[in-house]
Amino acid sequence: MLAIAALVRAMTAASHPRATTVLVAVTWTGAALSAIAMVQAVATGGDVFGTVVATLALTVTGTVQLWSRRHLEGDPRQRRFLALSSLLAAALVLTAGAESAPLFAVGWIATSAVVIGLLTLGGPTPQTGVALRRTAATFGLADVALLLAVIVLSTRAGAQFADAAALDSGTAALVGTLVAVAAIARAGAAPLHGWLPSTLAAPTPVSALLHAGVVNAGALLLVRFAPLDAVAAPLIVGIAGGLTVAIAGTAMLTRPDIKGRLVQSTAAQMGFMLIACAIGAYALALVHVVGHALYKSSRFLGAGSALAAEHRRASAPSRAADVTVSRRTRAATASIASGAVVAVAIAAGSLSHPGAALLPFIAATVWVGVWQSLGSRSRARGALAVTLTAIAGGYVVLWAALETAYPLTAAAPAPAWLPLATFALALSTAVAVTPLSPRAVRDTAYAAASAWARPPIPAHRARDLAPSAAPLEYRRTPR
Amino acid sequence: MISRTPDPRAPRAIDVRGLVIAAAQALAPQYPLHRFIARSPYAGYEESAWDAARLRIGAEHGVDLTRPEPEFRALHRAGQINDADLLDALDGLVHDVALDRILSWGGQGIAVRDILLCDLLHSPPVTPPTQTLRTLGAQRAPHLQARIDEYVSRTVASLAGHAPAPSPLRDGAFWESWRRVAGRDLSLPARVRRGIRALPSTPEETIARALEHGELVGDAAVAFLRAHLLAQPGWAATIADGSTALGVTLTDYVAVRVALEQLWLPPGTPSWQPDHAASGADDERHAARVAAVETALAVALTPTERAQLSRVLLALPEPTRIEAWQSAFERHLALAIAPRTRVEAAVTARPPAQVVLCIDPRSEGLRRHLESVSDIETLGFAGFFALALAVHDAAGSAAVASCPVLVAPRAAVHESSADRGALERYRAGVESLHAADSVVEGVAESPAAPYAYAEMAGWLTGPAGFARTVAPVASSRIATTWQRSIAPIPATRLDPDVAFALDERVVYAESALRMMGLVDGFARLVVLCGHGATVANNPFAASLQCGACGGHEGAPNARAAAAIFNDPETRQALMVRGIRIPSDTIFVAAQHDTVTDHVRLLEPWAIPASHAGDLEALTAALQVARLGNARERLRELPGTARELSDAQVIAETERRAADWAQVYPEWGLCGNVAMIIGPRRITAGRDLGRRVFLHSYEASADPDGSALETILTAPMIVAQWINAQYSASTLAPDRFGAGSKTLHNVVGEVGVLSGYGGDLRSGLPWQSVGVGIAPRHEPVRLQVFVQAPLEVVGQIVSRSHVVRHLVEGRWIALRARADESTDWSLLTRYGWRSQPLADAAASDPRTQELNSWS
Repeated sequence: MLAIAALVRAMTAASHPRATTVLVAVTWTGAALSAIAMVQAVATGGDVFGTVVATLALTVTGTVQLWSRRHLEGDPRQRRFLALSSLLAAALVLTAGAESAPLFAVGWIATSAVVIGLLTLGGPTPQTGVALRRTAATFGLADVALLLAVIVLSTRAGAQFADAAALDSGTAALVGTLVAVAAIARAGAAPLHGWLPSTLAAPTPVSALLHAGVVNAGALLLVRFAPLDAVAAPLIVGIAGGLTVAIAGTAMLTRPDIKGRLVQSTAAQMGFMLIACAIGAYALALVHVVGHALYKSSRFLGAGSALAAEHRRASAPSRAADVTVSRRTRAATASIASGAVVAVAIAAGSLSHPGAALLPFIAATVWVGVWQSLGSRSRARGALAVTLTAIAGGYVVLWAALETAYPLTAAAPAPAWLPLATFALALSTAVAVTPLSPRAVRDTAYAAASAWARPPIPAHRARDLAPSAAPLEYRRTPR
Repeated sequence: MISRTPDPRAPRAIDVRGLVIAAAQALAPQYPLHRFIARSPYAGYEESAWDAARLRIGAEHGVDLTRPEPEFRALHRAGQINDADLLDALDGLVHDVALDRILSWGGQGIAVRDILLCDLLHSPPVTPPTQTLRTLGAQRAPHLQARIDEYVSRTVASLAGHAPAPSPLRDGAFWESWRRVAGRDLSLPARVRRGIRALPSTPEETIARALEHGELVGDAAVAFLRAHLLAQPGWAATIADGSTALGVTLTDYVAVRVALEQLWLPPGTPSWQPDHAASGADDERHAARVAAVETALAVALTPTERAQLSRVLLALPEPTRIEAWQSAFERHLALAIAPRTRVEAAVTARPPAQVVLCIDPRSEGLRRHLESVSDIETLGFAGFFALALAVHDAAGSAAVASCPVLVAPRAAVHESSADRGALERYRAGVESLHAADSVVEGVAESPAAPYAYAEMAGWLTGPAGFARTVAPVASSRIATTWQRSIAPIPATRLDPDVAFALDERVVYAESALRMMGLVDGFARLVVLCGHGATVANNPFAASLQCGACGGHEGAPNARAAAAIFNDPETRQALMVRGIRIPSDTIFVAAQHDTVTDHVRLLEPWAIPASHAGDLEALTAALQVARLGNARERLRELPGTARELSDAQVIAETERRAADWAQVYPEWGLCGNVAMIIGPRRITAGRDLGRRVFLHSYEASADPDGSALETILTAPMIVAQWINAQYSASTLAPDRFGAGSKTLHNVVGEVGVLSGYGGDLRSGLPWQSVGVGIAPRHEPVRLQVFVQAPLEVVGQIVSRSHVVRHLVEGRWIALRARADESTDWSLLTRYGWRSQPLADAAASDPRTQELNSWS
């Protein structure tokens, strides 16, 4: 049903390129239908994962489209953006709703094609050229990998995802590796991470869609291939995800530009999502995908506020008269609070699910939050710390409940030490770039983290420098 | 045999720094974006005459100061430049041949003026300038140059932005820490890293060695360094502004670039030689020009006659020809704007109120509408009300310098409240909000904490983003209400009476009143109205605020000034100096929101009940004026339905102020053309389309000309900066403009990148000067009109170095007249040149000329 809706949407987009209102209306109609399908799936035990991802894609696209009608006012590519974003949503819905592997691959490849189209909206700038080359190369590789995986699956077992369980171990390992490559590339994880930072050459709303919709497809792919009985896929995906959490997470700490921080943050978050998938904590991966998509799309749309926010922080009032909490007390309280949240999680039955291995991450959130709260001079610092701990406590209960409700398990999950090792690695790489580490280590690590995944800026072409009546990014075609 | 004396290091360092300073003449320092000020990007060239500077700017920056000639010709066809404009321009620019001379060719009499007109219209177009100043890397290895640019951009950005982990480059002096960190930067080739570790211990020595290596001295050395500074002018200009405290100097910056170039380019690369503009074709171009004019004149010329034609054309070299077009276009606009002669001086009774607004062109619209609905008198004055303040707000934030950027704050004023309890509650509330903000920030930008945070926060920010998109005004109201409930704002006042001693207040009050020509006839209410712009999610918010207040809103200055004028002691002392403010006159501080056109009273609690009636009438008039002005503005903004009801007009402007998706909240100062310094009666009743800076001035109130001197040397300079900035951002959107807002990527508080990296953008975003591929701003040089005795104006100009350069170098057109009954004269290098303007166009400027660009 969803696939048909997607095709209808695509046709509408093609036949009414000028009726932007129609496009937005269709997106929201699709979102409503998809939401109904989602509720139905939850109630009847249908495909919760697919319907959730489809609803997410349509809702985020609908919001970004509404936003872009004003944000891209006067932009010569506004209509193209609206049409392409509708197509993107359609492709994502097709991917999410696909019940068979070949259909999934069609949606996946269509998504790649539309992403390339969206990147051209950056105009004829050298940066757009870099983004197109990098994305086309990475997506091309991922698409070929997925296509091969689907062909092998279909010829050796069957076209349904469930047939993956029937593959012999050698073939399963091959399919698993191919699937892993596709998932890693789409999620912007190392070593196929280079395309995501370059996409900043495209307009802000394109970034919002990429970071909220496109990068999530890796999770979907891994969920669909959960029946595959080969540890190769989870292991590759988990290690790539773990490395990305550590490297991109650290690179984010060195980025002076807001969008640069958001991109590295997405890469790290998707690394986290890959780990969750690798250890079979699919329910948590789903929650993460949705929460992160909502978070990151609004961060991108609001990226222009970063300047005011930085300035507000820089000029914030400071009153030395207030008593501050000692560092020791802050650390102790933070540790107690995060311990309490972990205890709540254990009491809620988390340990019986694979997601338990991710508990250190939420403990870290509580720890940093409480540490920060108590560091402020506000009288409300105690209340802030308590609120934060309470929210996190509630959240781990929800985690446990979701894992119990949707016990989708991987046939061959990655070992639970993977997230724990990632956590330790991420902490040590992050410490390496701070003044806490020895100077030589810090200098080297900081320089490496700053240079990580920084796309090249091509040499100026003569035509970029030619005087023009409009900015380079608005020019129609290369002269 | 010449033996070189061993170079003592110190003098050498001074020499190098001097060369860097000379090279940096080509840069206009760029202020951080949070206090963006429109300023002339060509300030360093304004010592030269405009036409000479144009050629240099073309060679060094690769941009032009005018539109290309074909566009001018299109304007001529469209009637926006006519033959009279062109002839007037030629009259001012051509000196080597008399325009009236008649040449007799083939039995036909042809006037020189017609030949030159023909040349302007039909010769092969003047070619736009190309950049010839390039670094060695750009000349020999563009690919490596791009890598050097990328590295330098990343390095400076890490100092300019606030990455969550502080850059190790901040440990100690820049040069030392850079050599250390770069020596360990594995992204650089090993050869380069080794070379960096072996660099001299000072940046000056590094530059000196590079200059020696290339055997560069004098102008060649300056050009070499300038090429490096202009390779990424945005970063260099940000460093050149010392106030940003990046911890890196221009000398450091150039040394890094020079060192990398030497180390990175393949060994054996020839040393730097300046590029030479492709010349030699000049004769050919001239021949083509002669041929084109001959064809256009439709006469057959003998070789002698052709030689004569060639000599005539030589009197109008191509650079002068393009200036003739520019001047003609400017004259055409000046005609539409110039105050007319023989204005009836309307003698009126005491006005119900006087409203003093900023000279900002945006005030013109509100003033016009306010005057049309009431007898209220309006005046124009610099929006900081001549009070250079460091403002400490009630929350206790860092002080804000609320004054023009070139002025240092004279005094610190504090916002405070008599209600200590309310003030304390407000401060505690602000601190709680800051605490919550820093917790969120700390969690989101830390090593292991963001993962669970993002997915938790998403459930809040996602729906909030949706709400902000579909209901921007309601969402922003909810957010404001929530913030106010945590930090309720108390009734506060400023303390200029503490910050300024009595004699300072009196001197200030007298000079300010004389400058705006308001020395008698005070109304019961005198409103001092600053301005600000409410916008959302806009890194360029400061560009819409008051330029005279250093890119901040004018509210504190209006409040402080009103407090001074209401101070009984100050009024007492003013009486002695001949200015009597009636006891029933009260000064009221207000602020004009240029996005919504709402005028907000800033201290309603300070207005006595005796004036409640006056206030009510004023508020009613302001409300009507708001509707009129907002409706007029909305018609020109992209994305508005044609006809709107009153309620829709208000709703639409409020939506633009609150909408996080909005890129056109208002047009700012787009379209600015002129500045008129004189009494309001010479412009009253005319629709100037919000294109003119209006400074009130009454020569009779300023017997010694000191007020005029201040106006010409301060507000006029600011107006020229703004004008030059808008023109540059329009003509060179890729060099002196910031490009489309949708690609912007904020770096700290200093500025924006386009996309993922590259140079820091400078100037105004495209959405400030154009829509789509069409520019909206009309690039012209500022047209200044002063109503004051010519000799006074002339003396002031000759006394002020800066103003004289602007006038004599033709960076502005300064016109003056003694009074309403005389006509305008243009001040040139050779003296006053009568230029009848006032009665030349009897037409309505708005319908014919002004609307053509909207």
